[in-house]
Amino acid sequence: MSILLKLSMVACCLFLGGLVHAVEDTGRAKVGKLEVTVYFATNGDPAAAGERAQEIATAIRDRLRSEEKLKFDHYRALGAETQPIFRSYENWAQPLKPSDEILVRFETRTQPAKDSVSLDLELWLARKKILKTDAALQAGHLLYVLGPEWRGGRLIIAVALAS
Amino acid sequence: MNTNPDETRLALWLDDELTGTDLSEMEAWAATRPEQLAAREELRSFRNMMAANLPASEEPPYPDFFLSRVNQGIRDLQAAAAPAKPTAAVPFWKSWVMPLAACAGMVLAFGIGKRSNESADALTVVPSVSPVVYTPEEGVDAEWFASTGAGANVIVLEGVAAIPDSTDFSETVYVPTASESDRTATREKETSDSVKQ
Repeated sequence: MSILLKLSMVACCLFLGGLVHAVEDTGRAKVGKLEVTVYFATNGDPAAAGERAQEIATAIRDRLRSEEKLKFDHYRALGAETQPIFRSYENWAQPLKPSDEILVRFETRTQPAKDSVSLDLELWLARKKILKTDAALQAGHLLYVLGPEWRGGRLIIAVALAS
Repeated sequence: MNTNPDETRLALWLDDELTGTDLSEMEAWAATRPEQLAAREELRSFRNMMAANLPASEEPPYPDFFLSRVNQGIRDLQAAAAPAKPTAAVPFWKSWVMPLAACAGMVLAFGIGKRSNESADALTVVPSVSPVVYTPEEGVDAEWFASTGAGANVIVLEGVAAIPDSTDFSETVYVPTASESDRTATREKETSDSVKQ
C-alpha cells in the first residue's frame, strides 16, 4: 500500500470524525434550570398536609400573602423539583415525586437570555392537561398557579428560574 | 317501487337528503321495511345528539400559529414550483473541486454555528405582556394577572377537580434548594431598593 493511499485513508477518517462531531445533538444543551415547588395553603389546620410537610421561609410566606388571591393563614411545602431546560427539547418536572398527581411540562419558545426565558408551559393534574400557557420567566420573578383543592386547602404551584 | 334502490340512493334517503319524486318513491319502498325505518330514526337521533353537543364552529386555540404554518406551506409550494435551471456539462476539474468546496463550506458553517451558540447571551427576550392561557379541560377556567405585590405572574384556576383527600403526599421529601434562598434574597433586595426610593 503506497504512502499516498495511507495518507488518504487517515484524512478520510479525520474528516468522518469531524462530521460525527458536527452532527452532535445541540438540542439537548442545557440553557437553564426550572424549579417547580408545590405549596399547601389553607385557612384550616395545616397539619392536614401531613407530618413531613414543612413550614416555609418567612420571606416566601410574606410574598404569597402580599397577593390577595394567594392569601391564606398557613402554608406548607409539599415538594419541589429542579429540572434542566433544554435548548430545543421538552422536559418535565415532577415536584411531588413519587406521585405523578402534579406534573409540569415545559420547553423553550425563543432563544433564552441570561436571566430570562420564554417557555411553553403545561400543568398536568391527575394525568390530564389542565393548563397551557406561554410563560416569560425572569430571575426573581415567579409564576404562581393557584391550583386544585386538597384537604380543606388549595395547592399553589410555583414555577421559577433556578440559578 | 318494487326493486331495491342502489346504495347511493339509500344513503341519501337515510341522510334525509332526498326530495320530490325520489323521496316519495323511497318512502313507498321503505314503508314495508321496518328495519330501514328504524335505521333512519337511529341516524336522525345521532345527528340531533351531535348537533346539540358540538358547537357549529370553533376557533383554534392558537390561530396565529396555524396561520404561520399555512404561510410556510405556501412558501414551500412556491419554492418547489420554481423552474429548475438547465444543467450544463460539468468540466472534469469541477467534478472533484466542487465536492471539496462543499465540504469546506460545511465545516465553516459548523464553526460559525458553534460560535453563534456560544454568544447566545447577546440575544434578548421580549416577554409577552399578556400570555396565552388555554384550559383544554371542559369546565376549567383560568384567570391570569400580574401581581405587583407578590412580584409574580399569577394564574388562578377555577373548576378544577379537587384532589381526593385520600391522596397522600407524605412520601414526598421536600428539600429547600439554594436557588430558593437566592430568589428570596433577590426579592428582598428589590423590596428594600423600592423602599429606599
